[in-house]
Amino acid sequence: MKADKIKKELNLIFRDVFDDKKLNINNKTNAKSIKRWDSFMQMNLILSIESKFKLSLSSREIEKLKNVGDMISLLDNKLNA
Amino acid sequence: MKNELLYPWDINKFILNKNKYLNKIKFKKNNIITIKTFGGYTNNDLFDWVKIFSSNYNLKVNFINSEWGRSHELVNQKINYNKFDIMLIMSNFFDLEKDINKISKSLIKNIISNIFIKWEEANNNSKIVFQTLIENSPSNYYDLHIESINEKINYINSHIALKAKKFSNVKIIPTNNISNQIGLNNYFDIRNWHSFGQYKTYAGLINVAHSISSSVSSIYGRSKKLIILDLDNTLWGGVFADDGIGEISLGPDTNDGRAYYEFQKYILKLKKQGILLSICSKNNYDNIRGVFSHPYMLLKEKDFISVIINWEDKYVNIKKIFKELNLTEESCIFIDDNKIEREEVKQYLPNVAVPEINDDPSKFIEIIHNNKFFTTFSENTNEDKIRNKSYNQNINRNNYKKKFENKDIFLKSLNTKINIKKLDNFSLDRSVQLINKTNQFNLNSTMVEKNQFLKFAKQNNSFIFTADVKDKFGEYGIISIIYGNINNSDKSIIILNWVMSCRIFNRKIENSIFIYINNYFKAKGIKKIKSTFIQTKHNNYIINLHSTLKFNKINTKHPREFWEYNIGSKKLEDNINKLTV
Repeated sequence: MKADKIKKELNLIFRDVFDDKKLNINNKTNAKSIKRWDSFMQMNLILSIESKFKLSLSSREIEKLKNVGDMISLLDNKLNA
Repeated sequence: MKNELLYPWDINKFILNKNKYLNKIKFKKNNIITIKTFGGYTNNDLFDWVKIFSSNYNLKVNFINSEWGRSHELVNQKINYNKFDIMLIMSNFFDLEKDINKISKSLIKNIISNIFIKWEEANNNSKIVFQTLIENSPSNYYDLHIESINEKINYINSHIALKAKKFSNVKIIPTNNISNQIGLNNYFDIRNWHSFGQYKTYAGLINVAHSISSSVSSIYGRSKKLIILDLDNTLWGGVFADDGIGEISLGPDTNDGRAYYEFQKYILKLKKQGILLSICSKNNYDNIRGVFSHPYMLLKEKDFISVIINWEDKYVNIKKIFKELNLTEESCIFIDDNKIEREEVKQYLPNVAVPEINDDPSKFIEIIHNNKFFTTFSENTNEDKIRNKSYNQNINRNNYKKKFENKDIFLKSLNTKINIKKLDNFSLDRSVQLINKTNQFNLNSTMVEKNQFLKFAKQNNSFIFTADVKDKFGEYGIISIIYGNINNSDKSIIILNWVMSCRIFNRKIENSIFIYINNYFKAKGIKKIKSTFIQTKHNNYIINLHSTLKFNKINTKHPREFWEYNIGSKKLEDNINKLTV
């Protein structure tokens, strides 16, 4: 799966989790730019990503994620390794 | 009923669709059940799923969460009991984690006594307590002597469970059984614990949420009452009319046969619990009745309250069953191995629960049972047990009715005796159950909770009457409750609610009860009876109740109608039913 496809899928997940049909993410989107992005939402995001992309992330990988760009490159690495 | 929320669950789909389900919950503002929680660490998703599952029983649940921490410490604080209906104490393995290597007798004693004190306090404040048990240790990750930890955990659990039997307000949520059932590795997620403070997997969380909401639905009387069953490939393997009695799979000789036999045992167990059974099959009755003489056919024709066997669409037949038994879609589950039949029933009767049992009989029990449709807390009321008998008698009555042309003459000939009593300890359980379960004859869908209702009964200015009925065909038990307040300053009474079981509709029982109320309060110098009617989806049956009883409509504030009745100088006479006190 290519990075732009990953980004598209990720955007759908964000819209579901934050229940906002118009939400658009970019590489710099982070917990500060989305108001309701707290640790509960973080869990829903991670679990949704794991379900959708059929992979699992470690605590260490989760902790390192600082923004959407990090998420995309992590997924890109794991899916295309 | 959203059938996609029924077990077996697609956990991945649940993760992705939680918000979709959550946002679809729409309710009127009244009747919100508030649960105050203690412990459990990160609970947001658990709460969301309790809300979602409860909405499937038309119940709206809200939560007041505690701070982060160990349940037995959090519970040890001053609690304002006016703010909630149910208190949920979520004891769990991570309450013990810090002390995992030194769980001492005194620590256990401390945990247990903290909890028991709160149960007692909740009981004195007429509150229900849900208490979770402690899961076994997730792995020897925490201690090399895993057996000794689990021994201690089991010791705490057995103390909690034993003590709970002495408290009528305490219901155990068996989280330890859930974790055993789905497996500790599928229940605990240490990564989630370190990353999000959530020690459960999503599967664990869904299972616990479902257990909590089943308990809520059970206390508020939403358990199912009726199972409608298909025949061929549902109660036995094969097509009886084609294969014949020697060829169907039922009994010890084949894999399927053993599974169908066990399934019939399970269905019979449910019947003993008071669940009504009904057959709805596309068949020819004369070609099928021979099956009941099969040596392993445990279910007999007499076990079914109604049997409809013909070639009509099933939803049409099911509607007939509801009419015959005076039941609603919400009280029923439909069991059929045929996907097309299931889909058709879902489409035409969207409030019937239709579990996806598919076609492997060895899975039927698991699929039905894990939906917890029939959760009851040990106290099956006497009326639950006689319900089956009572419905049978009703069918006799209907046949008898056909002989009469004038309805009043028919009703008189039933020799109905109505016994009206004040609420007492014997009628308390049944009364609470009837108030919460009744949809059709219910003035305003108010729900009551046992301990609060008992408190209400003890007030000087309240009245609660129960009515039980018998007639020439048999006994019904308690079938109606009417309760309210007495206002001596303006010589009036206010009816807070009035409910009646659908089993005795069309018998002018409501007139008789009203005559009793009129005469009783007339003798006490009361001049006026006030009542409020709120129309709901289900109480159309009593839309004209007040005008029939000669109440005057005072005001309407949609959906509320305010009615008043002036008690006259004459004593009212009942010339249909016989009132005894």
